[in-house]
Amino acid sequence: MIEFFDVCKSFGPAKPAADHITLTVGDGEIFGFLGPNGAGKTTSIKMMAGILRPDSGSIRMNGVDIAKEPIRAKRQFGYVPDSPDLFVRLKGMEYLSFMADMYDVPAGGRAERIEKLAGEYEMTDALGDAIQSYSHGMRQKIVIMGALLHDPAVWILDEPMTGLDPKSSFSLKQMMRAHADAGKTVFFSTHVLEVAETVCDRVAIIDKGRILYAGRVQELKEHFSGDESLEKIFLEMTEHA
Amino acid sequence: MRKFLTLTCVLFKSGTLFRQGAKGRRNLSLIIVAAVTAPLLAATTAMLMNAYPALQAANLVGTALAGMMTSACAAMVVLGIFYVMSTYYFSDDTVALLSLPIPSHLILAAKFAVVTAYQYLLEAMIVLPGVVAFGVRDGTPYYWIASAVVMLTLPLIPTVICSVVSILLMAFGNFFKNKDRVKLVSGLLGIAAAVGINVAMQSLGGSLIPSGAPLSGGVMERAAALYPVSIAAVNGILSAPETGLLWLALFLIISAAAVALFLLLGNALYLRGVVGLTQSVADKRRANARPARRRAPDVSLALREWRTLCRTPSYLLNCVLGAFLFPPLLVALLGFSLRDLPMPGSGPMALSILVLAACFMGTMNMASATAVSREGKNAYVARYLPVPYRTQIRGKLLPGLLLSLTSLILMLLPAAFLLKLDGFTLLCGFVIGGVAIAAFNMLGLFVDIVFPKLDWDDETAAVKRNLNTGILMFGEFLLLGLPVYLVSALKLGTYAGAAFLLLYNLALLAAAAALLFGKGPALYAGETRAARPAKKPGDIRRLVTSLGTAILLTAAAVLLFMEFTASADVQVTPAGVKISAGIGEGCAFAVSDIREVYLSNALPPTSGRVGFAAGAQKRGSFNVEGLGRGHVYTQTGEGPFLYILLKDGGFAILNFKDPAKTNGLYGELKRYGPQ
Repeated sequence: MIEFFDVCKSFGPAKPAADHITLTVGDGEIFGFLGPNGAGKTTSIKMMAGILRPDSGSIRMNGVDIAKEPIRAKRQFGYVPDSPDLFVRLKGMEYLSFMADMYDVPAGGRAERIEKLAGEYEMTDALGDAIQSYSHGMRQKIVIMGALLHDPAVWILDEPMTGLDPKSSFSLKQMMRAHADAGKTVFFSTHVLEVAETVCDRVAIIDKGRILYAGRVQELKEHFSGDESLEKIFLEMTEHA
Repeated sequence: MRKFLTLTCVLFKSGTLFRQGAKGRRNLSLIIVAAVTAPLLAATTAMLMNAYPALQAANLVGTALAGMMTSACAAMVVLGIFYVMSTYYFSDDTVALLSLPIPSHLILAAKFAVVTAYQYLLEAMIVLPGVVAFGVRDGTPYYWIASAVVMLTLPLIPTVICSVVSILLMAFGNFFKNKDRVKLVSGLLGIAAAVGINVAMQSLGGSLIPSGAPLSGGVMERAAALYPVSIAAVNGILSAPETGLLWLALFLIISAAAVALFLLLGNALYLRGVVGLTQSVADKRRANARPARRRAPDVSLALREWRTLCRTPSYLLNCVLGAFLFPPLLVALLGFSLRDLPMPGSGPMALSILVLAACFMGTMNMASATAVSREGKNAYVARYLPVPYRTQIRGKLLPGLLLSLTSLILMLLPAAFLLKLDGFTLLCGFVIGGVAIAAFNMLGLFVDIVFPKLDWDDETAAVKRNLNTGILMFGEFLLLGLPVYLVSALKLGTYAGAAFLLLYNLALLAAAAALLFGKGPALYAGETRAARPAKKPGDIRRLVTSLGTAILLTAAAVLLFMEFTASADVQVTPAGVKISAGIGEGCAFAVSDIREVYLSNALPPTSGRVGFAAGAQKRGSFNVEGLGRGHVYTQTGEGPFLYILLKDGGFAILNFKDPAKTNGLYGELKRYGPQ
């Protein structure tokens, strides 16, 4: 579960990136975070991951306050940043071993977990190569594998589909569904409204740091004329915000 | 032309040379650079102003200027080749620029302008003090105009040399298609060239110098002969306007021709090199891909650091190979240069200088002082890892510390042989040097946590154009220079001196550890966050900062000027004679120790300076032909010189600008001393 309590963050007086956000993402849910460029999506995600500190308010991961107990809170989630260019001088396997050490993944079962994830993402043959030689999509895959290695209860993914080939994208969506169905939480940001529409249980639309809507896609559509596309609704909401 | 200017402006703004984090931090960095370099430049200028009369008397002003220009050009070639390769071929903007509808020679010309701007900084450090000093002494309006023209033009040919070599290598060398290989090879070539130039300068010796020249054997004369273009530049500056203008025109024509040739070559070959680079494929290998055994987080972090250090060419060259190569190389070069001097192989003074040198060389690898900067855009990862910052800092410290301790061993072993160190001094060197190195690795990492340079595109910028290394070295000189002075001032014995140095460095280590592991984690947590907007300093704050900096810089320059121009102060009492000059220089002896006092108009040639010497002005210990080693305090090359010979074979030679003062002192000594 992810909980935002009246979270504010600004980069200067006229630039609120998070404007009194209060939000709860429950267990067993895939939650989509939508918004135009510069709306505050990545800032909100970075505050969740502990990279940025809110100016006021608090964020809890499975009931653990990230500001008060940062290490315990960080163990609750796996985070995929928006840029996959991490530690490119390491080989794929070295990166995964490093992440496993950081998240205290037990020695027993570590190899099996890596093997399973590598199989899912067709990365088995590439793990001996330097990440520097990977394509953008392969880098995205290795970062996702590193984030999921410790089998976190909460997944936080910033634009995870960017650069993935159709098969890997499909595989990730299936994994997200399976994770939520197991009673755990997936929170991800995306620009692709079709993905949000087909995958998410609930979505939130954010613009200029304010949550304009948080709820089911179907309810949103019903609120408008009913047969309008999510794209049209999204544009209408953000243009009149 | 408009496109060229626009492109150059954009490249300037996006280049790493002119950015270092947020605005506030960038201003602070500039202040620190100014605080470190301005006094150095002022001191060099003052020293050259003092030396001017002697150089002019020996007709060596032109040679000295040409030598400085050649040294600057050599530095520009050695250091520039790395920067040229990065800017022309490996910067992020290269491929994007090639897709624009502009000719490749325009892109090349804009990149050339950016590299040349970087070269001006080097030029200013080496040539500017000479030009200013000689100009202040004897400069006509023509001198200043010609100097400005030469200063603006001088970096063109070295940059052309770097550019042409880079373009040819990239266009025709398949081996060089691999970005990492290029950086590694060009870096190694740079080191080889630097050592080669040094050796060439030493071995050319006096063969190029006319016999009987007053400063024969000097580096300047050899340097001038190595780079003939500098002769045209110097003649352009120093000759009378009628002939000077002709020399200046020749210099400008040669420079312009070199740039034109480069642009012609670049137009034909630049695209070929860039396209070849983008078409190159990764060297994929099927390696053993089994997961590693479980490690403690700090060990795993240190291992990740170590792998990145070894696999990134810029880090490998500067941090790893530097740690292995530079200490023995510098000790060998230094030992060779100082071979004629009597070396204090033992004693507290030798030990404190040894600790300073060991710590300086041990931290030259910069691994700890750039550990956070090297993270660059990945620095935020530290924020979401579930590992305490204290543990992460430990992981960051470990590789640098091990490299520094390796350097210490590689430095002390040859030093023990060359400087004939005794067993006790060597042991203390290892122990106290090790403690000092640990302390300064911690301080270096702390400085990098406080001022990380995270905004770079090219890894070279993280280690080579990082001010933190300069700050650390400045701190080392201050904090380790202090015990050198104290050991000397307190006249401590060998064991007391060693105990003092050990305690001092242990205290330093404790303070560094308290700082790094006490304040470091909170600062690390703050600094690795995504960029936060810098607070705009108020006008008053800015004014106070500017005024404070100006006052500090002026005070430092005045102090250095006074130090370099100070005359000897002699106090004669019935008990003894005390001579003090400059900071920490001087000697004292009892009147009963004086064997003979006399005046002479001649001063024999001196060598092996330990102290200060600029032209005829000398202060410190010298080898004096016919007399051996003793103290010399002279202000002018003109007699009379006062000779004070001691019973133990030592001596002091003095004179003042005013001959009456020298004669007066002679009379005073005659009253108390031997007849």
